Amino acid sequence: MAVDEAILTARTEGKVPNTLRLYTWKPSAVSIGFFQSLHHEVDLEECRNRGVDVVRRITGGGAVFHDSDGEVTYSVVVAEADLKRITPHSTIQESYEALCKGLLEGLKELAIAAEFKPINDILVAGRKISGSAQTRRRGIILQHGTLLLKSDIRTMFRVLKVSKEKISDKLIKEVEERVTNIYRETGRELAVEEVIGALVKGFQRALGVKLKEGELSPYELSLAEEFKHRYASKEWLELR
Amino acid sequence: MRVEAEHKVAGGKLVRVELEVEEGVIKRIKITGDFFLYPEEAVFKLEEALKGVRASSELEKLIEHELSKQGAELLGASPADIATAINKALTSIKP
Repeated sequence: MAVDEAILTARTEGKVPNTLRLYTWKPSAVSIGFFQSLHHEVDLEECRNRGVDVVRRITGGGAVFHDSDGEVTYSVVVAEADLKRITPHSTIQESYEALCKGLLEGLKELAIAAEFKPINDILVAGRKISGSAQTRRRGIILQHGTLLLKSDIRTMFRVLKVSKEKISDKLIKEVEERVTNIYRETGRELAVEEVIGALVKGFQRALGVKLKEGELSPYELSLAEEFKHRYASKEWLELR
Repeated sequence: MRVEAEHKVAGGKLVRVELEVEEGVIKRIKITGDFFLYPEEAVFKLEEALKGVRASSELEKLIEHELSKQGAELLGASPADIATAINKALTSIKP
């Protein structure tokens, strides 16, 4: 999360280009939305016991379980003006859709037909496979989100605060029916690299840009290092 | 006294309010949930603006006014949803 914010900040200062970042989490982590109540949403003890990190995002939206080998996270940092040039739009809602097209095209690369569902979801045959969240600073958009490779609903329910009485096989079955993932849709366990490759192609096609592979700049790394302390602080985590 | 209430928004998002109330008047309020509000900091000003307020049918207008004053945009929930959660919490207090 510190890196996403570092890219956003560096972009607002004109020091880096528009950026697509694709990554996984190590260890697994729960991220909660800016407005969410930590103690209502996350079972901190369960997270501690399982070695799962907990982090508050600068973006709104819901809690996400970032399974270290079960999902890919994307983040896009792009100037509003640039995105508008590529895909004319006027509202925040429309900008979600414009950026989520990258995911739709990426899924198409993997022969998965998906659709965008406002506000921030991507569905495959009615089942959620991805959720996104967005914020803006000085004319620059940061949109990030998760794309499920597989679903571990049982662990997700343990680390998030779903009342333990409510966690039944029936409920897990119901939720499994409402979500899906890449392994299930393709019928095989793809390497993360293959998914990332598909997403790169997808974003290039959706946004009509040619992406150039690169590393974080020393400036971004130093910002990330600085922001890391805030993300790790009790004040930030317990902000709400 | 402290009260809280949740309101599930049509479309699936959640608005939760935690209130500190004295004689029916909001002393402190925290609005949480998985909605979006841009800019995010607008939530703190909105919470400030709701101090000293009672349960009423005017809450929605007040929230709408405060957000538009700040040029803030709410997504996934409406001022009416926040007002519903607050009124629910306030009316849960037995006189």
